[in-house]
Amino acid sequence: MLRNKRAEMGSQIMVLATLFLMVIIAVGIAAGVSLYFGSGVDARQADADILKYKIENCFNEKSISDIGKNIFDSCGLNKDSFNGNSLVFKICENSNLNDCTTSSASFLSSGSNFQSCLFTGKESSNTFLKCSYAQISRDGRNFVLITGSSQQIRRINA
Amino acid sequence: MMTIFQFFNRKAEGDQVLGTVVYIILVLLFFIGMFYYVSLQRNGAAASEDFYAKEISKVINFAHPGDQIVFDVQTPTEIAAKSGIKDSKEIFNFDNTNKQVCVKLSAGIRSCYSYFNNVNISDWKINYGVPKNMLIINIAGGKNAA
Repeated sequence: MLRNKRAEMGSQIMVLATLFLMVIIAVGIAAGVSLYFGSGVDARQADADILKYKIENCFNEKSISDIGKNIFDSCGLNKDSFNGNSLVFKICENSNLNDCTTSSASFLSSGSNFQSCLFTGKESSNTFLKCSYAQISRDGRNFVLITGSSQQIRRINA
Repeated sequence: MMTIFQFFNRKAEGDQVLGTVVYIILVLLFFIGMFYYVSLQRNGAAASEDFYAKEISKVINFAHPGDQIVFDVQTPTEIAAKSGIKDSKEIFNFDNTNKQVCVKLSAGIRSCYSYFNNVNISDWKINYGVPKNMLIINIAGGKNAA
């Protein structure tokens, strides 16, 4: 029994070495493929910019009361797209960017975690929000608009 | 008659065979996985799916009801043809319910990206070879559109 256990010890060490080798090969292939084809297009900033553009335009075209009642219908936004928290917006009245980002009070908002818009070094991460900002003045009222997106491509078995 | 040492040796041999089988299965799974991953990336199918799904949803986000969008899809249709996908309805898929664009350029997997503009895709088709393969999308108003 003792003799056989000693033999098993050697093969167990070899399994660990093989697993380590597999990880190295997998990382190497993934890195090679990623370097050759690129790591995909990052559309988060574009999403945030387009959403900002649409809401800004909406403030120019529609009345503030209509927007306040239902921003989704007034501005032609699909409400269900904002359910997953990957697309967010927040509008604050008489506020500045920092206060609007951190405070819980707002004129209108959808989604959460706006603080991550202010994180430094988030550019290297694929999961954080990318944000866009605007100041809107209308009928003597001043608003700060923050929009953000953390949407990723979804790979679905088909 | 089997001695007690022979009995334990047989048990150890059985364990060793089982270990080797598990090891071989593990190695096979690894190489199948790597082969599958590399075959997905071949022709840049995954990167192109990612690019076209995002670009089309970006354009749809800017669209208004009544607009017609014309999109050059020569590259993705070529990649799809090389992967054996010939049906245009399989390459591009527009889900008006979930507001998402899906692109499939390799067998087994498709890439989807959502748009937030409250519009519907009323009709779409691919015009082949005029002078390139062009995707034509007609936009209609969405639910409760103002």
